[in-house]
Amino acid sequence: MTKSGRPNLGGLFNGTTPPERSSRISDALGPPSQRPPSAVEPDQVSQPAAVGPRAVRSGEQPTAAPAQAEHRWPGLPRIDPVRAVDRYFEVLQAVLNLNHAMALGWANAVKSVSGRVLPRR
Amino acid sequence: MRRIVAIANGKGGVGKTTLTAGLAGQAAAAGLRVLVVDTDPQGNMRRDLGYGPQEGSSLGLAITHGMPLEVTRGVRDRLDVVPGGPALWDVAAAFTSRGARGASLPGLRPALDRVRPEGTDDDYDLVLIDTPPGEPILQELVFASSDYLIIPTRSDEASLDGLVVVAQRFAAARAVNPALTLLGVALFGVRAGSTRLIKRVRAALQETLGGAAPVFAASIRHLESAAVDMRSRGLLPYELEQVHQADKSARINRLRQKSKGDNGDSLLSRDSSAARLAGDYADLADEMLAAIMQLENRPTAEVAV
Repeated sequence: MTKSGRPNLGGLFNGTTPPERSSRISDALGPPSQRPPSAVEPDQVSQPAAVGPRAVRSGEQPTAAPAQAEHRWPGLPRIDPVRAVDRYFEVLQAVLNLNHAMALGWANAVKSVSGRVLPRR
Repeated sequence: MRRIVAIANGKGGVGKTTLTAGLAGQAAAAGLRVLVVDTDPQGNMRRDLGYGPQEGSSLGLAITHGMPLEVTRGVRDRLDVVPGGPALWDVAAAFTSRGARGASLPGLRPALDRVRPEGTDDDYDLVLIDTPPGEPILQELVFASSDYLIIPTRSDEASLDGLVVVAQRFAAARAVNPALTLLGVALFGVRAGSTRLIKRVRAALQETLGGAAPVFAASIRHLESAAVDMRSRGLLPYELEQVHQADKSARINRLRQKSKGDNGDSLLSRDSSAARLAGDYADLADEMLAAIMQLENRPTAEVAV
């Protein structure tokens, strides 16, 4: 915060402060030097280590947590529940957007049909 | 070498589109080869640059499927446009659904890299990208493809809040594009005579930016009548000034010839205000290019406007 109570955004712009939310597009585009040439296998989605680096979310343990988890439960697969929940709601949002677009398309089509063609009681 | 500059704020109505068109026109008039990319589904750039309504399908397909961009050539001398439009509403949904499947998408940069000015082997000098405020995915896509960012803002609190939103998106996009740099913040829609207010807002902005980038010394004044004249006729600020000059000459000629004038489609703005507005854009374009040159450690004289 600045003296006048405004947030100090300098760190976000010069890269010293991590963003509150990771990039929505980084997984789809990939980091600049490691962009995937083709589709990533769906079963890799819940394994952050296979996807490449990403920005740290607020409240997350950036580096130590996955290593500690592996050490503590060596037999279990590493799953990031935050990422899975995030993905789930992204899918829900996508479905909602598609339904919205379809409904609008249908409504526009109905609107464009002449009143004579529409069924009458 | 082309420089790609995004114009963005997290809030609407802060002058992004008008500023993009004005800066692009100014740079093109000064001799630079300029490409404007309108990533806004509302496609309002057409009103500022004066071309017909577009769907934005080419841009949408370029982002989601890597198709070649369709460029509207010669909107002005040395100024081409990739138009936006309602088809861009589909980009965010495509990104989310394909991203959820783990499939990769090309984004904007590959298609942009393939676009060249017509009839020359040279590249564009400047690519200016207008962004929509309420579409975070589109905005981040632009950030992932840009070298620099300019944030226009008005002096009100809500516009300043938009800075926080864009700062978060900027920081997130640097995971994909670490080279992205904030070029500066531009004050837009400044009312004449509000010197003290502007001084205060400028100080608040500088404090908020924490030295990460400058607040441009040049600001764009608020002139409602000039804005209406420009958008209704598809004129850029310096063109409005030229129209006023031509209008003035025609009036003088009519007086000399004692003939009656035709005032059916007269301008709302005054010639002096149009000239001042054109001056604002010229100053800001100068400052933008100087800031780029400074960041790239080159003498400003090389590309002075």
